[in-house]
Amino acid sequence: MLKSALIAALMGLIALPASAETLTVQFSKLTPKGTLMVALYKGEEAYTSGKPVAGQQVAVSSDTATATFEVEPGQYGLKIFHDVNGNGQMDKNPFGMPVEPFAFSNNAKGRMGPAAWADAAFEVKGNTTQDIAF
Amino acid sequence: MTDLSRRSFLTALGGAGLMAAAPTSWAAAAATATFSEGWRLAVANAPAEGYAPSALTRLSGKMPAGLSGTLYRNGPAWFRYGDDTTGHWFDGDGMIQKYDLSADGVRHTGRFVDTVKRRVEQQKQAIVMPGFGTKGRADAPVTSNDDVNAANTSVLRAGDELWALWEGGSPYRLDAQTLLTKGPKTFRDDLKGLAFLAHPKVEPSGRIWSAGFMGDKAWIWQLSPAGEMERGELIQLPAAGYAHDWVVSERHLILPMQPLIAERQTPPFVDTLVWHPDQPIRILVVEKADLSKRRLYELPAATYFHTGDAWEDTDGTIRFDVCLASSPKFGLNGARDLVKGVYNAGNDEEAHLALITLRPDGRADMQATGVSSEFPQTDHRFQGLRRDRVVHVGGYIEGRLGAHALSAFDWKTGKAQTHDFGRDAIVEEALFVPRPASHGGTGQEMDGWMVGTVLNLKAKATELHVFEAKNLSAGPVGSWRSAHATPLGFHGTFS
Repeated sequence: MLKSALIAALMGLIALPASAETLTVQFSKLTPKGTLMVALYKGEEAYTSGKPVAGQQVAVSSDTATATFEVEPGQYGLKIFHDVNGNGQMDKNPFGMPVEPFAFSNNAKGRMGPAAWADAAFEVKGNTTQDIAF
Repeated sequence: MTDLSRRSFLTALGGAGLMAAAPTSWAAAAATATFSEGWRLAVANAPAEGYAPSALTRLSGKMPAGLSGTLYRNGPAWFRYGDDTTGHWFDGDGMIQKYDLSADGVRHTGRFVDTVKRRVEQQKQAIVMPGFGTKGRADAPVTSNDDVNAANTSVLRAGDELWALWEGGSPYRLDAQTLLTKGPKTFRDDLKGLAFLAHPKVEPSGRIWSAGFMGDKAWIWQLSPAGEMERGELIQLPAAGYAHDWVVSERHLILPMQPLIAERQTPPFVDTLVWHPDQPIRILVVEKADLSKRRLYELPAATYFHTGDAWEDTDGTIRFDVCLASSPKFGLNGARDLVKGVYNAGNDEEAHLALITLRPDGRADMQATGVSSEFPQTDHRFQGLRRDRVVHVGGYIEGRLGAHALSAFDWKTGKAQTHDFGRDAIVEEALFVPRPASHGGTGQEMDGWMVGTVLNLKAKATELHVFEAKNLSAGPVGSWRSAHATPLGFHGTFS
């Protein structure tokens, strides 16, 4: 059954499963403690409105860490914050400014807010890697 | 406040600012501006590597016996990369000037504060970051207030450290001897990047008070003499009025919120400020011991950068000196043009010394002196306590940038003293240094010296002058000249 499905797929008779590609996100320059909260968004609308297609929590025990996602091809963006004190929140100061490190795909920088979709968007086409430095 | 006193206040301010119209072409002026000539020395780039240690040349007089220590001054000192110019005088990179005074004379050195902003811009050799009056580039890498912190306004000694202060972000910690930058001061992990005024107030006990403003909220900092946090609280303000300075009395924090109101959040900050001359200055008085206990006073619209200090009478009446102007056009416009090499006298707004009185029954009034005044300083040993004297710069000349005189005003006698440095001098802030008991110091108010700097445009050099604090009219008792013309600074500390 499996074999026949594969042959059918190769012959273009049926679609491959949606999660066909591997997105590897490699983080560097981390403070070795706490947890990375990684949110993946598919498309501009989801990125801007904050509706992730997938999310991962990655424990940080050295200055690097890795997250992987199985996704269908397309345009994606990542928003990540480093929950250094492990309280499950992105801590802010009394004026509402983040006090824990955060980052975006393409190492895009926000200007007084999250990075714009145009700067953070990347394409997943085949196995794809994002290198993000904190 | 009565109509009469309001009128006299407006009359006192009336002569100011009615100066020459704008030049015909600022762009042309900017294109030909030479920053090694004339008043533009005030906003020239300092050497990127800083000023190597050098001795000042003695001009006259001598160092008074008992006067020794270090004058630290901070101010913006880098404004442009080629034709790429910062958007405002207040956005230049902070540089610390260090003057060591001893019986042998005066030695000087200077170093830029190594901020994130400066690193980014030096690397790209371009103005990148948004600021007080700079829009910044769309790709400016800004993740927190401290990424745009220019650390360019004042300095504070806290324990063994020297802090370079801005007003929209953290103090930057420096080694007080080498002036090497250690990084932003974080008081607590959850308070990272929180605003800290360039005008903290230090009680005679050494306790430090500061504030940070964001819209209609203020964070109040109470620090130990060593600069560690004792208390911090968020308070609600009556309006999002801009405040660069405040006053602190023995028992109260006094926040004058001028009707220059931040109405948006997009940089540059100065463009978010809207002047409302129909609205009052709202003066919020908060008890130090219980920040929930507050009173609100109102006085007619006026604008200010700097206050002197506050004290309380036995009946609870609070008084403080302040330099008031009738419009904020210098900060909003004039100070933007300076860095382009354009001095438009029509955008100058002379400030005048006034005493504000806040009475326990809710009445407030203002005594205007008509004396032109900025950078007011008092005998810091009387911080928050009854005193009579305030020393300030003044002597403005129509069509010439900056102050030209150092003056004193006595609230008890109404008498003023002044020393005029002349039209080729731009007089910077002077600080009081007490005469030590070992040299006959009495501890009386203003028993000591005023130590300050002057940019001599004719000599193209910065000078340091020492006065007997009670006798400014007699002129300096000692004067020295630097090998350099350092860009105009704002505020300092002596230790």
